[in-house]
Amino acid sequence: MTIFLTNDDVRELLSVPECIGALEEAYRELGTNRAAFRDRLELIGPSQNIGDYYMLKSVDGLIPSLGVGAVRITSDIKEVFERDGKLRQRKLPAAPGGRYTSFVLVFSTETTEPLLVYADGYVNPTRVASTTALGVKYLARKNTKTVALFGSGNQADKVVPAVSAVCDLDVIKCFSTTKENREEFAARTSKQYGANVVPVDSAEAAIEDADVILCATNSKSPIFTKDWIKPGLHYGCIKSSEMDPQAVRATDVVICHTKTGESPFVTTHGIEEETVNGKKSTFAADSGIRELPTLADLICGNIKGRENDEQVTGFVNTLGIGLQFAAVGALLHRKAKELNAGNDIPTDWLTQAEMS
Amino acid sequence: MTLLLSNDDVRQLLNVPDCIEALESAYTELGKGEAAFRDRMDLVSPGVKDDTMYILKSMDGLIPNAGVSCVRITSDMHHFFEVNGQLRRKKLPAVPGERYTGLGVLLSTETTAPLMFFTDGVTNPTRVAATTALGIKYLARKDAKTVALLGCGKQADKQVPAVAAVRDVDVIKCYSPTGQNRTKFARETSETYGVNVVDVNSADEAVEGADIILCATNARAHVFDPAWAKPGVHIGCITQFEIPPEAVHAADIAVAHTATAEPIFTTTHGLEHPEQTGKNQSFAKDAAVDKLPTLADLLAGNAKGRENDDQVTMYLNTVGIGLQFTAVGALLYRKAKEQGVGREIPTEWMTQSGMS
Repeated sequence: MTIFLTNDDVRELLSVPECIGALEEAYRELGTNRAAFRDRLELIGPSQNIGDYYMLKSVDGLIPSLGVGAVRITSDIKEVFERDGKLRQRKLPAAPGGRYTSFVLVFSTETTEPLLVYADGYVNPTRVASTTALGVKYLARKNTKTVALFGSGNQADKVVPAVSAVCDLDVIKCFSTTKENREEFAARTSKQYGANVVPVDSAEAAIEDADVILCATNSKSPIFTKDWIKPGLHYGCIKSSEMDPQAVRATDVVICHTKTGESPFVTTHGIEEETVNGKKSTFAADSGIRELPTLADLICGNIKGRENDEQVTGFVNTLGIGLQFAAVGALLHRKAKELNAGNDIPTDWLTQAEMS
Repeated sequence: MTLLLSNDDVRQLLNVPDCIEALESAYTELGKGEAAFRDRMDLVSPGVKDDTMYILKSMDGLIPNAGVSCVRITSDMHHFFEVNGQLRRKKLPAVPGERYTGLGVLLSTETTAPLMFFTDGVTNPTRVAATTALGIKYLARKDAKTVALLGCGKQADKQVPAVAAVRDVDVIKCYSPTGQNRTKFARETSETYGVNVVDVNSADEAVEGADIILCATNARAHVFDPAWAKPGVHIGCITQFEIPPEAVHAADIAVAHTATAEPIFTTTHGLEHPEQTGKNQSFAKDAAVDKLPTLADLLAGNAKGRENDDQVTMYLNTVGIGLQFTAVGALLYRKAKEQGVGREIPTEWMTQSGMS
């Protein structure tokens, strides 16, 4: 049988510590060349509404030790609109029932068959936060007690249990621009994850005495600036646009997720590159990210991590890779089988007697 | 609901002339910048048994005017071996029940939703043959009547109706090294497609007097002999392995499928893919494939076709692209809906209420 898991199914099955464990294994395999992933290339074309655009994005990953290969498919329509004189974009819930389309197909490396198809809405912020947590685990000071967290959305939410899983924390100080949002966030995540999350009124209040600064926002302009750097600090981000490239250059030990900093894409007629990406980012060149070692290098011991409590360390978590969805897919498949979760269909409906 | 089509469904819905027409339109749009694709990339790891490799392959395509995008995925166990000193490849039916895994996932550019999953066993050789047919339609002499067909397998089978759809063929002379195979092939394809297919005892006999020479083998070595390139002949192939680079240079007009001649392999465990070692390695460079016009250029009128009856023309069908599955997927979806063919699963299994 091939299993289909909705976000609700995944929420039941996936715990953050297990997700961190699965990803740690995946990066170790990658760092020792026993796993692989494919770089993404987005295909972009016009949508029905003039000015909006359609985007197909796929990423692949392969982890033989976990017995899986995976392909993640994201199919989105982005609305382009102007606010405060700036072009902004948002995904439209264009699928029937006001829904979004993004799912992962997981295949067996032993029998080649499709094992699992899962919606990725719950996995996505969880794997990002778990990756951030791995940066903290391998780079932050062992006696880390205070974390500054920027953002109060979906991505920031999962950072709370993820960073709590790898450090014995006293407090997470949360800041986001809207007061109600950060207060609601702090109350909710404290309760849900049993963590001490407190809202603070300014970025300065958040970073004061922080051992670790984590950015988990949807900001298109830098949040983390060079003057925040101080001895012993570790920082992390979820995308390159949150980081001042000069801060990256001023870091003693800094790793990247992958060598690319931006999403490469091709467009068809009528879609300008600027519509998709805004002004061309110079982050990769300015930060020197392509010369940095990767998280996989760090986890498998190809490079040294922190050597003393004075060093500044950083993890620039840029683009997601298919490897993450393969690792989580293997975990979800095992748990779904154990707990008989999800819907299923005969695998024969998706396989064939003739070779292609 | 999301449709699932089996090979039997596809066989019932797909005919070669319709497939040629769908691809003709797709390549024309590609040539005009109205469609896009991502180059095929393969992730490769050691297989379970000796001399086998697991390969996860994916390719994407986008045709906004047809309202669809597509990701085609194959998850295969490959066995590499030699016959008479020539490298050959066989896919193993590793899925329980002796089955294979190859799928097209068709998505809507209007709603983003997954419209259909279709197994690719029937589509695959059909789109290859239909692409060969487009090469013939745009490059072979209008009065071409005699066809040499080298290879008598699954791919060669579909070449018969494909070539017959674009030229008024008197005879197709087929040859493969195994006598029994070619006799059976000639009998069966003559009956199935109503075309005069005869088997001959040597490759030389097949090409004697041929206006069109088609290679459609699973050989990973040269099949085409440059001495066969007589004035006025058109040459086609299904993989670049079949054609020696000097034959490409000798042709008056050579057109490649895409600018990339070889799939991009990422391997684990330091594996070397047999198709990228030794003499197979340098075809793209030796034949200067990236300098050739593409099929899309030819169809959109950006490149010159045949100018007289003495020129030698060649269509190099190198690596398949996701655009083909996108075009055929759109055709299949329309026909399946019209005729009520295929199974259905809830689209909500693959979509989600929150964005990822």
